Amino acid sequence: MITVRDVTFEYPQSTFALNVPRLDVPAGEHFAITGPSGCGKTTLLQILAGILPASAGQVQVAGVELSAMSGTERRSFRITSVGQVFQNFELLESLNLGDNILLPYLINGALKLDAGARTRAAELATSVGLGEMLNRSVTMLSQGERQRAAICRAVITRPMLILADEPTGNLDANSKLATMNLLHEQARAASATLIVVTHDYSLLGDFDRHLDFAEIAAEAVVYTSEDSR
Amino acid sequence: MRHAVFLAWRNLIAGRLRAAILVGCLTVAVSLPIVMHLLVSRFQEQLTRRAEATQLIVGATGSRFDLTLHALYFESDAPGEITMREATEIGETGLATPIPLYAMFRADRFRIVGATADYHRYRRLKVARGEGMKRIGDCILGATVATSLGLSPGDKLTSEPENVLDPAGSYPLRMRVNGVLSPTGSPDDSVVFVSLETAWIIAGRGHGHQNPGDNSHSPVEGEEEGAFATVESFTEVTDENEHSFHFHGRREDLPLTAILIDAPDERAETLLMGRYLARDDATILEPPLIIEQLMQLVFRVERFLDVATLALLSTTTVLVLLVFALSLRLRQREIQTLFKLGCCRFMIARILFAELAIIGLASALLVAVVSLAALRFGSQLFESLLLS
Repeated sequence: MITVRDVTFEYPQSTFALNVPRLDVPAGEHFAITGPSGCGKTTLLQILAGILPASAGQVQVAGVELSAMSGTERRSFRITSVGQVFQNFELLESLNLGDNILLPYLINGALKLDAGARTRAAELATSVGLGEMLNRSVTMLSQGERQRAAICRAVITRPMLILADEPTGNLDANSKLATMNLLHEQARAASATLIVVTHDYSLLGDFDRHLDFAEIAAEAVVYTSEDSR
Repeated sequence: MRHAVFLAWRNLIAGRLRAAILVGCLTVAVSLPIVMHLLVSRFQEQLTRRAEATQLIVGATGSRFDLTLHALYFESDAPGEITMREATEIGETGLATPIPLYAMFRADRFRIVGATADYHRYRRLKVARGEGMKRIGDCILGATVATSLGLSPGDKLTSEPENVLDPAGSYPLRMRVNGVLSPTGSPDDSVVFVSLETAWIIAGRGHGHQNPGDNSHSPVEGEEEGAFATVESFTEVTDENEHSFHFHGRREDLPLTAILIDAPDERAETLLMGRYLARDDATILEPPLIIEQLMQLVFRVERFLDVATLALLSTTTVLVLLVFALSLRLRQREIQTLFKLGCCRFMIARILFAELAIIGLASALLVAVVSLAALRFGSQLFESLLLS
C-alpha cells in the first residue's frame, strides 16, 4: 500500500538530509518507526502525509504517486485519506471537544459537514469515553482525554492511512497504554494502515512490524513484531 | 465561508478580552469624527433654523455672538442691558413690533425669560397643560423644564438667589407654575417664561410689602406674638399681597437684555437697521449672518479636530493591525496544525479575514449606537458647551 523508493529530502539552510532507499508498508498494517531524535522520522511522516514534498524519489500511497502531485493535490489527498495524531495533540483551544473532532470538516470544503458526520463524531467520542464532554472546552480536558480527542479527529474522515507522531510522548504510563490500545482499535475499526513514530520500545509489541530509523541510511532494516518481543 | 466565520467567531470568543479591546479602540477612533460631524450638523441646523426665524435683534453693544446666542438660545449672558425705552421707540416708529426680553436669572439651572405675550405669539408657543400667566409671580414652563423638574401647574418654583454672599441683595422669587408649554424642539423647551414685570421683581427693580400678620409661620413658642415676624428667605406674590407690588422709577428705564424685532418686510428691516448705524450704546444684528460667522468658527475647529481624529484613526488602525499581526505569530502553531490537517492557505486567510470583518462589523454597530446615543443625549450637552 505504501511504497517508498530512494526518497531524499533536504531542509533549506540545514545540513540534515533524509534518505530512505526503500520502505514498503502493506495496507492495514500497524507499523512503528523508532530511532533517535533528529534522524528524520517526523520528516518521513510528513512526506507520507503529503505535507512535505520529497526532494527526489518516489512515494506511493494506495497507488497514488505523491511525489508527482502539486501542493493542492497533496492537500486534497491529505484531508480525505490521511488521519494525523500529534505528540502535543494540537487541538484548537477555541473550539469545544465536538468541534475539534469535526475540525477536518470545518477547514476543508471537500468534506461535507452533515448530520452523518456529527453523529459519527458523537459515536467516536462515546467509544473513547468522551461522549459526555462533546460541548466541553478542550482546555478543561486531561492530557489523556485530549489525546483521545485527537485520535477521534484523526479517524473521523475514515482515512486509509493514520500517521501518529509520538502520540504518547506527553502521557503518563497508564494513559500511554490506553492511548495506544485506542489507536490500534480505531485503526482496525477503520481498516486503516497505522504508522506510529515512537521512542517507547515497550509499545512495539502491538505493532505488526517496526523500523529502526537509525539504520535506514545504510538500508532500511525492518524488524518484525516477533523480533521486538 | 460559513465555516470560516464560525472558526473566526470561536477564536474571537476564546480571546474575548483582546477582541473587546480591538473593537473598543476602533469604535472610539471611528465614532469620534462621525459623532463630531453629526453633532456639528445638528447644531448648525438648529442654530440656522432659529436664526432664520428671527429677523433682527437689538441689544447692548458688545460681543455680537453673545447677544445673538443670548437672544436666540438664552444660553450665554447678554453683553449688557438696554432699557424698555428702546422697545417703546421701535414700536413708535411703526416699522416693526418690538418683542422685549429680560433673561438674567435662573431657577434650578434653567433660564428665566421675562417676555411679553408677543414672544409667545412670535414663536408660536402653545400651552399644553394649565393656562397662561394670570398675574405677576406666575410662570410657564418649557416642556423640558417641566419634565426635568417634575413640575405641573399649581407647583412652585423658586428663582436662584442673585448672589448668596450678598445679604442686601434681592430675595429669590417663589413663582407659581401656571402652565406647561407643548414641546417645540427649540431652546424654548428649556426655559421658564415669566412676564417682564416678574423678571424685574426678581432683579429687585420692583417689590411688594408683606404683612407680618399674614405669614403662616408661628412665632417661636414663648415669644410675644407679632414682636418677631418670621422673615421669609424668598419673595412670593399672593392674592393678598399682589397689589402691593410696585416698581420704583419709570417703566421706560427698566432693563432689557435684548429685543427681537418682528418686521413685516425687508424695507422695514433696512430702515430700522439704519437707525442704529450711528448708535454706540445699542446695536442691531441680523441673526442669520451672525450664526453663519459663528459656524465658520465652529467649522474651523471641526477641521482641526478632523485632522486630529484622522491621525488618531490612522494610529489606531496601525495598532490594531500590529496587534493582529502579533496575534498571528502567537497563533502560528494553530495555523500550522490547520495546514497539516489539510487546510489551504486561502481558507486560513478567509478565517483571518472573517475575524477582521467581525471586529469591523462589531465596531460599526457600536459606532452606530454611539452616534445615535450622541444625537439623542449629547446634542444638548454639545450645544450647552458651545453656547454657554
